[in-house]
Amino acid sequence: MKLQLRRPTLETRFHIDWDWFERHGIDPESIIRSQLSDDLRASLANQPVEIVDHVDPESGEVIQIDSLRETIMADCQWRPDYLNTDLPLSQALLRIFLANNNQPLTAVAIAQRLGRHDPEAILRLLTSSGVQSGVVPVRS
Amino acid sequence: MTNGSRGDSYWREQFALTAEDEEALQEYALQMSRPLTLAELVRAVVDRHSASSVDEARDGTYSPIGRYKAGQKLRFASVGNAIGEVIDVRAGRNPRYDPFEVIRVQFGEDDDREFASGLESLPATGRDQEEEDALDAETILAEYGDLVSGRVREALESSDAFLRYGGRWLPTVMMVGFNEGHLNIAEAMIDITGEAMGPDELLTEVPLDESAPAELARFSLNYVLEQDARFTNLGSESAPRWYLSRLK
Repeated sequence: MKLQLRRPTLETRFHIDWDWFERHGIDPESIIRSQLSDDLRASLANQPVEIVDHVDPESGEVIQIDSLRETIMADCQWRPDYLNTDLPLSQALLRIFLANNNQPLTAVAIAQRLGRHDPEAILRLLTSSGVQSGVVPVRS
Repeated sequence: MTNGSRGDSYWREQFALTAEDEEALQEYALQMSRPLTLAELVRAVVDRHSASSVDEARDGTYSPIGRYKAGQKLRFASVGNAIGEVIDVRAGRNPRYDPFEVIRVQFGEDDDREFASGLESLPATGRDQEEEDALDAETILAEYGDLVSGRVREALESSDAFLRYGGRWLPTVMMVGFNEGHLNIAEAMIDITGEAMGPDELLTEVPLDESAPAELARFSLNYVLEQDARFTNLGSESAPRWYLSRLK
């Protein structure tokens, strides 16, 4: 049987594959710390990473995640400089998925979150020049 | 927004008269036993809406600021208004909100979820970074009175539940019944005297089948006379003088 590879489309959903970082010898914790706002990075620098309860601001639902990700979801992502036009797109992609607890998104949804009107360009970036910051298609 | 209260954006953008509001206004009119002005109805609606966000935490609708016990059943707006039962309560762990609790809620077999409870205020989102304060009824009426009045009036005008006459509103269910015989008597009274008459004069001779408060009888008679082509109002809606169209 011939193996057929499906080419990602605008409907393909992407997320962060954290194993990708380990396979490439990159410490995910350092990557996440580097996305924190300066003041939060400083305040959390000497604190151990713990599992905490994150409260969804819309529903009140609680999930347990590490304190670094929780800080991004509960605080950093609401700051105006968290996603800005000066960020390299690969870093912006990482920040989007950190902010939504790695919920899969299409290139169209990613473009909306970035305030861009070119989801095709984002799809091209995600598929044609290697894996961007561990963002890969969700395996169905 | 703090404590689930309703601030400027709610009154400016979201407020709309609901079916529950209409029912509450009908009950209010029943309590008062008289037709109500739009201003009175608007005041009642504003009081109701400003209180309801606080009540949500008490009436069985889940709110992160409410406190709950195992065994309680709650409605969850974020889960399609599903009812879930609190099956466990534990201490929450997050210095951002401490102290707070986490309730485990069962919605069905194999569907347990955890929710925050006892928070002092709701978690921040991008939308409410410009924090809104709860508005009291006086401020709401001063700032948004015209807007709210317009929406209430539009809703009542398109509703079958309320009737309007003379700048006052009455629930349809509170209308005093006037039949064809009553109207024939009113017609005869005006015909014989040849004079326009106010509702109180007409009510002296129109035998009502029920004992009703004078204000309800007056409103109801004015309303039905206005709907009947035999009668014409030579006065105003606030001080009607009923006459016969054919004698005019």
